[in-house]
Amino acid sequence: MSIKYPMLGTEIDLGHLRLKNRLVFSAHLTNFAKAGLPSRQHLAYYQARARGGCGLIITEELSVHPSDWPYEKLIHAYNMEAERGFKEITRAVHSYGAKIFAQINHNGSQGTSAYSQYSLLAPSEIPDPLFRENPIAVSEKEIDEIVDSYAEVATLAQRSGFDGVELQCSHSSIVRQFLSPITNHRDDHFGGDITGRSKLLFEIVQRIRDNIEEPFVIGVRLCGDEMLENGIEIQDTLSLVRLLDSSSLVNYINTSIGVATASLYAIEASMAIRPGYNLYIPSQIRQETTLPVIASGRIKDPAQAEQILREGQADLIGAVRAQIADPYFAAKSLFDQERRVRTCLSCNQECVGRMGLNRWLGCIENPETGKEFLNEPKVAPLYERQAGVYSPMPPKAIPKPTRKSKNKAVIVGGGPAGLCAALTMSNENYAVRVYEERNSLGGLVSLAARAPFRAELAELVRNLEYELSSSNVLCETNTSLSARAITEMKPDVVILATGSSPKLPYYLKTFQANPPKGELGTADVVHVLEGTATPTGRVLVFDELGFHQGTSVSEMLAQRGCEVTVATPHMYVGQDLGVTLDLETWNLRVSELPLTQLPHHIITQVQGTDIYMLDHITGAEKVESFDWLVLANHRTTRNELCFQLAAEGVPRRNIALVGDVVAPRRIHQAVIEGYRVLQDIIDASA
Amino acid sequence: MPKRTYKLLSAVTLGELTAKNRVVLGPHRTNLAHGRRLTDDLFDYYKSYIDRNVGVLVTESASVEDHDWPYEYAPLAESFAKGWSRLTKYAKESGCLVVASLSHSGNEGSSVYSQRVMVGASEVPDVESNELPQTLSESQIESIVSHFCTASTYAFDAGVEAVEINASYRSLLRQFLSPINNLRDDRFGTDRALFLKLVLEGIKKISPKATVGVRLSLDELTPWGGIDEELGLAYIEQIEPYTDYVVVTRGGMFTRHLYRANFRYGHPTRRELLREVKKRVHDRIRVVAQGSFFDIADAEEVVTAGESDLVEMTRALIADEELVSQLTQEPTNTQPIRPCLGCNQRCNPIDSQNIRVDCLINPKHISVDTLSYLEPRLYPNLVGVPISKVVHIVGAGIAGMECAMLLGRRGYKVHLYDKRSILGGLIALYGDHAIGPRYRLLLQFYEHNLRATQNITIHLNKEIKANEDLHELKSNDLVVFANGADPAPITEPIPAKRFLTSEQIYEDVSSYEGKVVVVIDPRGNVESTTSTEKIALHAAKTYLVTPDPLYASRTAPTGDMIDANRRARLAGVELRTFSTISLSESPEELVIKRLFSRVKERIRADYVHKIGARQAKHNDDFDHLCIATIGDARVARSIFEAISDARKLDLYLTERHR
Repeated sequence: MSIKYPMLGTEIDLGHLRLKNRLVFSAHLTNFAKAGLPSRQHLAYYQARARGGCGLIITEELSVHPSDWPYEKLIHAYNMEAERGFKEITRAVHSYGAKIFAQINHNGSQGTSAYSQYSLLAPSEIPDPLFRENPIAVSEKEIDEIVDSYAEVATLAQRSGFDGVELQCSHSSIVRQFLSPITNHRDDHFGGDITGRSKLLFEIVQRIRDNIEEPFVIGVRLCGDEMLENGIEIQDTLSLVRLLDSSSLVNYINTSIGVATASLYAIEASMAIRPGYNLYIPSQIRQETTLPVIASGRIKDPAQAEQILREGQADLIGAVRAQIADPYFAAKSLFDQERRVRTCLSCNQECVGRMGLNRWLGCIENPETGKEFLNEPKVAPLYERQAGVYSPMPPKAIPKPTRKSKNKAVIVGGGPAGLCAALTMSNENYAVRVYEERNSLGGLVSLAARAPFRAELAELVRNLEYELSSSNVLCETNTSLSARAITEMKPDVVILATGSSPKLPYYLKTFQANPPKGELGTADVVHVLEGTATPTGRVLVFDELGFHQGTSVSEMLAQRGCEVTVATPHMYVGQDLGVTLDLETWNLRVSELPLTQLPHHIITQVQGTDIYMLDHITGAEKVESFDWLVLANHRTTRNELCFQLAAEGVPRRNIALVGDVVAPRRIHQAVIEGYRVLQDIIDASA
Repeated sequence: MPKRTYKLLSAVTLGELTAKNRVVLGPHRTNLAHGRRLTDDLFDYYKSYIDRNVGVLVTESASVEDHDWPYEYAPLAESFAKGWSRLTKYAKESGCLVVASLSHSGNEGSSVYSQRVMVGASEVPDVESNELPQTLSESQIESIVSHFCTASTYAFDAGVEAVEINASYRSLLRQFLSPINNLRDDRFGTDRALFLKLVLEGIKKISPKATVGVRLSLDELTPWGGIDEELGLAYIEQIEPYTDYVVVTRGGMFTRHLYRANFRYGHPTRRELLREVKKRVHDRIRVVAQGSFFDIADAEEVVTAGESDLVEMTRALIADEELVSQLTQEPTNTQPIRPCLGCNQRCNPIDSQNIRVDCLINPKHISVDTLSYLEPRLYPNLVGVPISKVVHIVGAGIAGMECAMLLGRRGYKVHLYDKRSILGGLIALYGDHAIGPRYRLLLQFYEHNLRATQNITIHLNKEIKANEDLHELKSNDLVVFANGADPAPITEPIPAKRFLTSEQIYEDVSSYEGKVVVVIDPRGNVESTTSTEKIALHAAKTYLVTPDPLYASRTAPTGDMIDANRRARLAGVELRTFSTISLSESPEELVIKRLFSRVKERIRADYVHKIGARQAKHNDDFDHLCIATIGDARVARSIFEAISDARKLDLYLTERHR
């Protein structure tokens, strides 16, 4: 057991139920459902986290009623066919000694009629700010039916082997809509003060208790603070907690912050929001109740989790993204292997942020997330065997680490694509050498992490470097290889991860990083991040990408005192920041800085220090003088080496390309191409 | 009345095949091809057209290889093959010609589903995904050519006799044709049509007798570059030897919204262009006109004038499946066609939510199955109560008119009441102003239907407040409330007298003429743009305040988002995005607060209008046994739900009386 994190590894009772440790994989959407039913994808996904050692899993929301169908891939738990899938999931999770609860929910007005063809139900006729559809104010008869449907699904959950249910009263729920003064304008006894507004909650819990067989755990997930004007604030939640505490109907309280459809950036906080930002909610709630309280929200580090427990801010730790990135987060943390944890970056690029885009849950660092059903892990890692107490599975054979490798792989480029490819090839017993021309590994990711509020991106590189340190891969930095030098090494495979370089737009002849006085300095964002260009004075950042490159560097320059204008051809600055839930917080931060936003403009020409721009919406032209022009534009591949190798007689089938050298894109593509490089080589030669 | 003969209904050859008439259902995204194959739902959808006499049915574009996966339910040729076989077998009887559309989206697709890099002619990012493609090598191009050939083999083996190659909307082949996307200096750059020619040549080699068509963009409508008409026509001449028909389309990467354009763009298919195409190609080559052919008259005109041989009327068919079958009816049996509005609100499901293809004025996915479950919820007052075949419909908006028309056809004695002097409710209000001319056709459609049905009585200028106001009401007569919504109570901290209602905006312009009006827009939809533009026409100054980062954010599928922004700015509307309203200390002032910042702006404002602020009518105190409520009176929504509600009621009553 863990020496470093004793509290995290301590058992705890929820009602009659004993959990083996304090780590919870709390409820979150996955978009894994098939035809409204739990799928193999769910099964393997939850099973992997149970195998990874967490004490409690709470499933994604199970919908209780057919009037609720807010997104395509929702689990319709009122459909009795769901039972079979639930049974498989609970059986698999239990086999690792973990417990599992079903979260049950009705989304109320936070939905659409597009799938159900039936109008939305809500406490009052107030449209949700995201879905924007007017709902029907439910009659008391309909309330009664909804309460019944919760009870029915709870009994189904119990029959399916769940150890308990959690009632969502938080992110996107009709129960929260009743609790919140913003959405509940009723004048009957389901409205008014907190007693009236919480009447639905208590009726549901009571009816579940009346219908299930005791003992059975019932928990509630409460929104501590909606972060909205006139919305639920912590004092309202504390009043509710006192009511819950004295009712003796529930066994634990889970917490959250924000509303899924209005203040999502607070729920799934990105790396720009400091860890612990919402701990005031569980810690204050814990003062009001003897029930166990779960904290969650950007808890990604076992030390941080331990501290929360030690300081008495919560009794359990919900760690979702941490376990999305690394299913073995719990086992590694509890068995003193925490340095091996593949830490979550809180980048939100492939996981929770894109749930609204109807895409399955993934992870920027872990291409296996959501794909667990495709391949069972081949090798049981050491920490899993050490965590044998969790795993009744027979220990699997572990290959000898020193098996003699025959095949040589040379990887050119030590960015994320090259490093992932190195791990893949090394796992397949290639002798791998990575050559990086810069003085450190990580490529553009390490540079991007230098920008304000982007530092955690660098953990991607740290995680990869740590994994590589225990492999047979040799990495040489400050090394630039010619095609001849590569062929002389006689590699069996050459993997080019040479990345990309800045591309000059037609209106510039060259980058001018050291402009003579009175002339325009010009640079790419990468030049600014690596420090080879140091813009001062009036700076125009022209952002064609709409992602973090332009906004981060603008913020960095404005922080340094530059007078920054960010221009973009898009309809607003940072149009892709919404996906990672950074749009709001970036705007908030730069509103305090000398920074002006100029959407829907393109640069037409540059003459001296004059930059000509066109508003492509109205056709208006303008010209302004700047000291610097910084570009966040699409880059160009660096694939010269590929042709040079061909000229040296290396057969094309022995060369693989990964990452930006294929086409300059984002981290996720680099990682995934590195991850499957061997398969791609095999496929290509077939 | 003599039966009219239409050239549109005459047969026409396509290569060695014959189409029984000249109306084409074009390939379009349905989001029904789950698993990338023909599902029962998609079969039923196509069946509804095969059964109704459509001449040529082009199936949804199928990717020729699995790395191309442009949207989740995009057909894949290999997986779709069985589906083609099923469709051709079924269509044989009615003589509908099934054509398989084959495509590769290149960098106009998505890398999300395949988790593979998108490919393209050159390193040019797509404007929508903003993602760079991998530049295809010559050997990769050759492999895609062979994928096209293999895909056509799947189609031919399945019994399909004609394939259509997509070189237009979201197509790698068009990207190669376009000087915007294709910056290559190899032979695929010096001869931009080479890729397409290799594909067509390859397919002709496999099956020389098969009909091969090309969907070609003849004009990308990007004056600064791209394919223009001259280049497009030159391409037609180049591909002529390998093809049997050409679908003449327009639009490119920057102008996708003009491929099936919104009504605001009028009639983008230029007849001069069609004539020019006809001139350039051999008589053997058939020309298919495509674009905004919403009306039979338009289509008949181009065919009669010899400007095209066939006409694609996809959206017109989506709006009314009976479009062709009505023409073949005896004149006494014909009913007017439900006119496509060209609104693109529901038939262009291009986002990632996978909403099935639908139609704003012809909801397609209402089934009795869902009704049996939902019955007691929708019609709590009707459960177990006997209902006579006399119905009183209060309110002659879209919901009321649709309901009257359907029940009238079923033989009900219908009384339709409205307090106003005209039919049409809220839409009549909008249609008279800014929404666009085609809305009037919808009103005419209803009016014609209602007046032509003997058992429908229309009572205008008749406000219904109590039972006595209804014509000879019996206790088991059904009363349907379709009397729309009321202005919503005001939740913003602003005095009520300063609020403008929708009715005031359209009917009482003088009330705000020359004043300063602030539009609060929490919707960003078509209603937002319509009302804002109407206000801006008369007000001295208009502010638009939205919490969104851009104005009209929800109008993207209609193809109007960018243009709506342009119109608003040119009309002098002051756009305040990412903003909200609060009250200031002074009664004349409002404060516009920028969200996520401390920036505040004080403005003097006379009136405030809030988009979408309507609330269901409460007819609860109306003393009658059999009551149903539909449309906005149930809860304020769009035309789509108004018509859906009416159709649900019709289905329900039919079940009840069975």
